[in-house]
Amino acid sequence: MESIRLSLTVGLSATLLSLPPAVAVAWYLERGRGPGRGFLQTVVMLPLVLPPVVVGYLLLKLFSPRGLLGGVLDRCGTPVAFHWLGAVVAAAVVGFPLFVLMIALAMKGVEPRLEVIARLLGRSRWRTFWSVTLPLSWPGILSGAAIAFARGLGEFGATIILAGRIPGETETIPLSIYAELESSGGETRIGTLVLASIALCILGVLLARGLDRWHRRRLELLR
Amino acid sequence: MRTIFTCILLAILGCRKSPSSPDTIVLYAASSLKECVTEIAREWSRRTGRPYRLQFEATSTLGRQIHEGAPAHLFLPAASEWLDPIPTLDRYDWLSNRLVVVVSLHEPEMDLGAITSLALTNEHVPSGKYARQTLSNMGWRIPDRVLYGHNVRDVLSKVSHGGAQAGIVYATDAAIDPNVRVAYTFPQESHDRILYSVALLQVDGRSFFDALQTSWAVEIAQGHGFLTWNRSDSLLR
Repeated sequence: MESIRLSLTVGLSATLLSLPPAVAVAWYLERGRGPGRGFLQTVVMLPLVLPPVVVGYLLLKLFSPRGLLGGVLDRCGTPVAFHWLGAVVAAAVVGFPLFVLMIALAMKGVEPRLEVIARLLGRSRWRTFWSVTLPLSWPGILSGAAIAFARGLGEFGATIILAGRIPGETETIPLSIYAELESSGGETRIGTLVLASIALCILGVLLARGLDRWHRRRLELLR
Repeated sequence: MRTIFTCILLAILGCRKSPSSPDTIVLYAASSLKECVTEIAREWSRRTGRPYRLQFEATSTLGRQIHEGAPAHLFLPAASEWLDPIPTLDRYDWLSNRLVVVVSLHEPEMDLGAITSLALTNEHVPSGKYARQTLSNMGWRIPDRVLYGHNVRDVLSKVSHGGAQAGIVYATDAAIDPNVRVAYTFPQESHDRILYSVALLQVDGRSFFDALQTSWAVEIAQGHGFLTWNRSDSLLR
C-alpha cells in the first residue's frame, strides 16, 4: 500500500524536521530568561487549538506559489504547497505544540541544581545544556517525538488544503481513507488502512516506551 | 448549581428545535450549480415567501448522503445515473454544460499535450467521469501527477492556487474564477452529454421543482452560462 509507506516517510520526516526547533523552543520556554516567552508560548500552542483547516489555509497563504514564502521556495526548487514537502510541513506544524509540551515537561523534571553545579564548575550555558539538560530530558524528547509522529500520521485538515491529494506524493493514510469513502466497494481497503494506522500508532508509542525504559536503566547503572 | 443545570437543560431543549422552520425546502445540488441555483432560489423565495436551504457538493457525495437518508426535497445531480438508486417522485432533464481545460492566468502559453500535472475529480464525480471519457477519446494521456479535488470547484481552486498546471472543469466554473483562463474547450461528442437533472424526492418540494423549469429560472441559468437541454435530443437518447 503506497499510502502507508508515504504516511511513514511523511510522519518520520515531519518529526525529524521539528525536533531541533521543538527542543530549542521548549528550552527557551522552560529555562530561557529572555523576553516574549508568554507570547511565544501562545503562538506555539495555536496549532493545537486552531481548527486544522484554518492552519492549512494560513500555511497555503504562506507557501502557495503566489504566497509570501512560496514564490522564493519555488525558485529555489523546493516547492512546498501541493508537493510532498507540503504534507511534511502540515504534519510538522500540527504536531509541534505536543512535541514542545512533552519536551518542556521533561526539562522541568531535570534537577535545576545539577545545572547550577555545572555552571559553578565553569561550564558555559551552552555546554551545560548539551551535557546536563539534554541528556537528562531524553525520555521526554522521545515520548514527544512518538506523540508528534502519531499526530502527524493522522493529520488531515491542514494536509488536504496545503498539499492536496496527489496519489504517491501526498496521499497519506487519512487522505486515502477519505478518497475510498467516495468509491464503491472501498470497505476492505478502508479496513486495511484503518488497521495500519492503529498498528503504526501503537508501534510508535511502544517504541518510545521501550527507549524510555532502556534510558532509565542506563541512568540507574550510572548512579 | 441547580441554576446552571437548568440553563444547560434549557440550552439543549432550545437546540432541539432545528433553526429552519418546517416548510423550509432543502435542495441538494451539484457544486457547479452554486451561483445559478442560489440566484434562482433567492428569486423563488422572493416570489413565494418560503424559506430554503441549499447544499452544494460533488454529485457523488450528495447522492450517497441522500441514499443514506439525508432529508432533501430536491436533488440536482450533474449526471443522471446518480438518480438510479434513489426513489424519485418526479424528474426531468434540465441543463447542460461544456467541459474545458483551465490554466492559471500566471501560467505562460503552453502546449496542452505537454502538461505534467493535472487537477481532476475522481472518477465517481461526474466532472471526473466526463473528463476521463474525453481524455481517452481524444487520445490524451493523463499525466502521472494528478491532484485530486473533492468536487469540481475544488479542482478550480487547486489550479487557481497554482497546485496543478491545468485542470478540467465545466465552462461555467471557469467563468467565475478571475485567476484562471480557458485553454481549451472539449468537443461535446468527446464525452457523454453533460446533463443536470432535477429530481423531486419529497412532495413538499413540488413548488420549487416546478419553478426550476419556468422561463425566468432558465433565463437565470443561461445568464450563468448553462446550456438548455434540447428536449428532442433527450427523446432520441
